[in-house]
Amino acid sequence: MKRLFRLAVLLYPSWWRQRYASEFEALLEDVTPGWYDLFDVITGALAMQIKTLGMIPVVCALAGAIAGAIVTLRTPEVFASSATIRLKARDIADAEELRVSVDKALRSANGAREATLVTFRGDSARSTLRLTYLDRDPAQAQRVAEKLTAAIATENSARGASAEVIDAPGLPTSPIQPEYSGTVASGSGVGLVAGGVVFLFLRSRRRPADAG
Amino acid sequence: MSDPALLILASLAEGDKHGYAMMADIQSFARVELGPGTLYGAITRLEQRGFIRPVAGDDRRQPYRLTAAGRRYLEDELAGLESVVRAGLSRLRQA
Repeated sequence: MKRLFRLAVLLYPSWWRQRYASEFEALLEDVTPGWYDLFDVITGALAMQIKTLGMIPVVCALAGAIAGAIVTLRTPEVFASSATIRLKARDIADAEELRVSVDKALRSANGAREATLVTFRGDSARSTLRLTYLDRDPAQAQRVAEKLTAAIATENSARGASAEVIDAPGLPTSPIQPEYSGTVASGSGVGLVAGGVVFLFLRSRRRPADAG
Repeated sequence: MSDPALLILASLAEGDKHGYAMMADIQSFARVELGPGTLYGAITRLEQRGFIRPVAGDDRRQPYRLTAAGRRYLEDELAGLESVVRAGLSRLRQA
């Protein structure tokens, strides 16, 4: 806990730490700090940072968060349905054929859509295929993923290679895009950095006048 | 009354104190537990406004003293609070 407090003190502005850190740490040694005190120190540090930097970075961070929220609200939802298939070639010579057959099945079942991700893992004779199909409609994502899985199994069986569906495509319940919290957090971060740059720029322009 | 700055000034009206002594004193006379961050946020503001100043201490525990400006400010604030308390109590008795 004491270590967390020492780290929390680092959140204060440098001018504050130079002036108060020693006596503040002495106070923290006197009290029996709990989680509430840690929260109190962190919010105190943030308040001091805002006081030091002014409102520009805060306003920019808020603007970034709002922009991020607007972007996520305007981004259409995309659902993913995935299947895991284990493919086994009869021998090494069949392995290349197996890959060709997978590509053919994907092309035939997928049509013009290219929103399919295929990952091969394993050696050349035995591979695990992870198939993911993305669509704005969750039911459509599942339907196409099922078609692809069936097409791959049929194609491989026809070539005498085994195809075992380990994990059948499910109906996606939540979208993978847009990522609300991530986009809002990124917007806040970009806004904060932009605000910091604006603050430093303004301070550098003010300094010569102050000196004069 | 839960304004940390006012509580600190009221505590220092009794004499010089360092941070932990202020926290303990405020807890005893106002039943308010100030967190370390809140306490030092208020100390920073009060020192910048010239209401308190650091005085020599024995170790890292830095004692503070109420300045003349701080005393005047505290007197004004307490007088204002006193009139609110008097009016409130009087109205409660009449109700």
